[in-house]
Amino acid sequence: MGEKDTAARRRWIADALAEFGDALTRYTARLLGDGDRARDVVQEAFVRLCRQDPDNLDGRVGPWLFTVCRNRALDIRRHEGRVEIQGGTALAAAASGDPSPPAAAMNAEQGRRLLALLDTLSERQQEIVRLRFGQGFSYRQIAEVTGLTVGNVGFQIHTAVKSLREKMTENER
Amino acid sequence: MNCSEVNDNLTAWVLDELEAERWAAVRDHLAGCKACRREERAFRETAEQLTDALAAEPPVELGDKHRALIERAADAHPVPPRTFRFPFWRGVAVGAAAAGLLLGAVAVLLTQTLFELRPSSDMAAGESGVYSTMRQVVDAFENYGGESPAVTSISPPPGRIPPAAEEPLEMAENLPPVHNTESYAYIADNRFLGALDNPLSTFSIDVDTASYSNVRRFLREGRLPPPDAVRIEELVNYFDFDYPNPGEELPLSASIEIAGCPWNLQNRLVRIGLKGREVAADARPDTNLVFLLDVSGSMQAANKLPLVKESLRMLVAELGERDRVAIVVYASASGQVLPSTPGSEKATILSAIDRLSAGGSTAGGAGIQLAYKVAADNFIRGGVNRVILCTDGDFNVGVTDNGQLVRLIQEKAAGGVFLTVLGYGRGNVKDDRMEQLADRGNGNYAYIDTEKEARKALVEQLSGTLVTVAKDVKLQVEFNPAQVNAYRLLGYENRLLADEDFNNDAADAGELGAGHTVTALYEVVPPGVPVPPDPLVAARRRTVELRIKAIADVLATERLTDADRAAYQRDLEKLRAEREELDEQMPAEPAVDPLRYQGEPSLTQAAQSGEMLTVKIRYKEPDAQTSKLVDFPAADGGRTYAEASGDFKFAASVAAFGMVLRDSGYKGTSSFEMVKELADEGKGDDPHGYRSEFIKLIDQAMKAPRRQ
Repeated sequence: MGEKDTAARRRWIADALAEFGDALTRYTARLLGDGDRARDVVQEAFVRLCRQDPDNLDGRVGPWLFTVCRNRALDIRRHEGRVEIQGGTALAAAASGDPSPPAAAMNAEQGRRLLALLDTLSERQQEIVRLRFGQGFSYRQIAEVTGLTVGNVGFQIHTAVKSLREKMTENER
Repeated sequence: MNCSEVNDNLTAWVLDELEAERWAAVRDHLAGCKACRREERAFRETAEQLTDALAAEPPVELGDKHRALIERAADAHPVPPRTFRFPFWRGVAVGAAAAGLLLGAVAVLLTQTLFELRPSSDMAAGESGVYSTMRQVVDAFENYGGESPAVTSISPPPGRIPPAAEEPLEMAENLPPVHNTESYAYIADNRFLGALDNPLSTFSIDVDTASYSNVRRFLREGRLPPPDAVRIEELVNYFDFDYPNPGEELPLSASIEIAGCPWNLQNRLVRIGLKGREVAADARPDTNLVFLLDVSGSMQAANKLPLVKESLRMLVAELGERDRVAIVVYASASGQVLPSTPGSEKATILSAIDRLSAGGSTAGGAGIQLAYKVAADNFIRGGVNRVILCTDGDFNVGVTDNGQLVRLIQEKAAGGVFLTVLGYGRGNVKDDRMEQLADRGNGNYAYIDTEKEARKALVEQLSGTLVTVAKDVKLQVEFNPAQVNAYRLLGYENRLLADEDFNNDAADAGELGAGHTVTALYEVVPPGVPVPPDPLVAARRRTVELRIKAIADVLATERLTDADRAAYQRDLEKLRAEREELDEQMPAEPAVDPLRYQGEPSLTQAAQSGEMLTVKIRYKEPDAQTSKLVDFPAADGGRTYAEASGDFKFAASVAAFGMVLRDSGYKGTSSFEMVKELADEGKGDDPHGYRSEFIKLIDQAMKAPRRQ
């Protein structure tokens, strides 16, 4: 192990940390309903990432980290016999955001409604929607994280988007 | 593409997830269709709103402390990972120098414990003190060769070295598998349950064997299957065992054998075997079969549609004039390609089979509706009415709601049309989904990967596949606490029922086909023998213990600000509470002396009978609505494993194989070598060669590269 390897590895981890650290924490906190434990899970995932060969994970570090956190979080939930996750806390916090200019206020209001509707979807659909629109993962990456087929991911996203759109229009009436 | 098909693809279009051909079709349609363009704008708008809304959600930040520690971990793992097997601990243990031992402990604390060692709140005040403590630990870890004062400041006294140095980082290693799109539901092993507190164990039988074929596929490809693809009960139930035929009055028999447990010498292994009444081929009731074939583009591969066609040809050869066959296909559109035709008109059926070809996208929903309609139109009262779905399971487009589909299947099963699902293909197997459909349809699910497997499901076990002799078959085992300390059911994790559901005829359960055998194994801990702890609980317990020790050390040796000290105290209390909780989940040590003034509470006289357990079985006749109950008590004759029957050994071998493949925390001394030894002993006559094939699979598993 040369100094060069150490430096390269440190940079590799630092880059992954900068890119995914907060996003992973948010994602895991959703699954666990608990930010503190989510941080521990995320940390554990990164520690495990430190033991991986960068070449093996070339280009898939993000999905890999999400998969590890997801499995760990599901383990914990499963172990606690908890099936449903606690939702809505993030939503409540969103409502107390900074005051926004009027044009943005309209959007913020819409966004809040959309998030509230998102909470009514199945947990799986919520998760997939968040990975796609919150995280910007492709269908294939989402398939990798969730273990679904790419086709099924597309189907779930389509169903979710369609139902969100319909509910938004209903609300407007 | 018409408007509805375009609509189905609009989300993927907006997100640029369509492959070239479909992308072009959507583009061309949009160019000429104003309504769809309006739709497209709406989809785009929703997508943008979603992106904005999610971006505006308040962040949950990882936080600087976790970040700092992760960065430190990156520095601490500079070894090329392929060969990285915790050289720190090894080196330390071998060195055995006093400083080395201390550092071993520090190292464990660092990666496993101190990462979590942070006051849970109020970090703002006096944070530097806490942080500097962790820095010291980290520094000590990094400079472990040197005489760092930090080492002495937090090192545990001699004799308190945590045993974790021997078993570093025992985290559940759920590393993502090599990328594929197969999906398996998560399985957590059943736990040991105390016979006094949980005397009843209730589950539905499962005659599915798909997991075995699937595991075999992985092993033949030279790799180990993902743990959740291994369902122990499906591996065991792949094999037929020589259970006695039931008498005249019952549709099923039960036989119970108890002997030593090969992977845990102190324990006993109980094998419960059911066998459905055999029905000779000529006594088979009239059948009305509707094949529902997936002919979408994904079925083109040689091991899919061509194998489906071959399977059908084999089956047709077995049918006669009292049988009827229809074929419905589904892809982008669904349709009937063969109206219900007597089984004697083989040429008509075979030529319809030959004309089948794959193409288009899947719309499973409409096809299923049509298949059920054809089955209903040709319903044979008192006969076998069954839809046989052949698919790779990749239903995507067009099924509006999975729940709706499941309800439809359930409803049709109640009306007497059952569903069999045959899974084909590889790399895209939707195992959990196909099984779910079959379960709800009072049916069975088999995975077909070779002509041999098709022959097993559709020819050798034709009666079993088609003729149900008992439905909603449930088992409830009552354990006698006088003979059993604790028990664990091997497999059947997704078939467990609430104890009250045993007597609830509305609660659905598995079907037993003619001549089918079903096997369930329990590992039983005799009285006076300690119960192996739940591996997850035990691992967490160890972590908690380490954290408690680490915090106690910090509190005892560090000069802390009041805020830090209070925060550590709170954490310590939380951890102690958790430890107490975990201890309650850990099996009690049987070390308590017998009470002088109090006997065993509330055991009935039957408990003194020497019986170990009673197997109660509830089932319904195929056309009945109310269930019948039979029970079979059994005593432990004290047989050793060596004295057990060949079938018993073989079943134990298959279950142990499953545990090793799943890397279960309950596998005890099981290893591939042991599995092989047991299988060899239990192989017996093996008329169809299935058991020899299993033994070959063990060799393949030994050769496959280990999981990370």
